[in-house]
Amino acid sequence: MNCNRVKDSLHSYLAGEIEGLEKLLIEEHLKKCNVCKEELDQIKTMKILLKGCRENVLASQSFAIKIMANIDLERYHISQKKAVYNLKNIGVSLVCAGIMLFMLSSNLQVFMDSPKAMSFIDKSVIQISGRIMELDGITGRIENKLYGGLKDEL
Amino acid sequence: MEKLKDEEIIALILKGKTQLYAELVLRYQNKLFSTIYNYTHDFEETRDLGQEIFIKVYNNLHKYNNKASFSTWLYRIAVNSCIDWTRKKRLTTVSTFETDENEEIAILEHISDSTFSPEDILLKEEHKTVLKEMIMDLPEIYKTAVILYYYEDFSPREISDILNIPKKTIDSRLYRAKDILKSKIINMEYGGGAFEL
Ligand SMILES: [Zn+2]
Repeated sequence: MNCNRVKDSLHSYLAGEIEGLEKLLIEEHLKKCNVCKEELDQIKTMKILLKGCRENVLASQSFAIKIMANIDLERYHISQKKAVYNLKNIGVSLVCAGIMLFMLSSNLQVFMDSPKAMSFIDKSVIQISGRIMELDGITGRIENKLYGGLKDEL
Repeated sequence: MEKLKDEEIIALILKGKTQLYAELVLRYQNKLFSTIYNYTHDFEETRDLGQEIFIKVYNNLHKYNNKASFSTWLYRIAVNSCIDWTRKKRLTTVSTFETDENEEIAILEHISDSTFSPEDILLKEEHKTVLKEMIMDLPEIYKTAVILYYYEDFSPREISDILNIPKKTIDSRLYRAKDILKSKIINMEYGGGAFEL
């Protein structure tokens, strides 16, 4: 193993991240090469020096409580997500059923030519699409609330 | 009760048991606070950044995959917040890091490596303050590598995962950081005898 390769591995070696044959080769090299041994010693020195500078800071006792008060606990409520999904589905199904019932109960062939009948159909369609929009609005708002992320105040 | 693994807790949170997030906060709050404090040296900033990070982590929990350990993933978010903080801070305050890097290399070349050995290290309180200031004044890329490697005991591989930067780059940053610090320490030793190495 050459010096450059050993030098590149020294931080990892000291972190215990190198194993097996590579580790053996590095250790063999370090026994023979003073330059690399010097490098390793410097990293070790730095570790001792800097470790002594690290400050331990404790979070306040109420920190976790504060975090819990500031996160959206509903964010990952799968059961409610399903409920919203079902509500949306039921809504769409009801609208579909309405259209089908309307189509079955009216004899479209007869009414088609009459302008009065056409305006009635138009009105119904508008009404139905209005209801779909309304449903989307409700579920959209619920979903926004569920997945809307951050509360403002920290 | 057997202690749940981080990953098990996350799975439960994602199934709706969101109250369990408190357990993750309790597990990591002190470690994270220490890292942030050693990064900022400011208690208020530490508290604010800590809060910001834990809320961000919660809001992104569904994006966590088990590829990396939770602690690596948490640190990825935390370190990015610290780096952002450093950049914002540097924009609003005058950086104390005004040293010419070339000058430092020159100093290094003229100083014998034998003066820097692990034996007979005596680190007095006032030396610690000077050293801490040296780390604070490092350019951000070195400072981050130093804090993660020397303070938090992450390996170069883990640091590369946290920063999403090739391991080779981390290795060279760690070398460069070590050499900058070494030259400053030795320089100080010759200048005022602050360290007994
Ligand atoms: Zn060598």
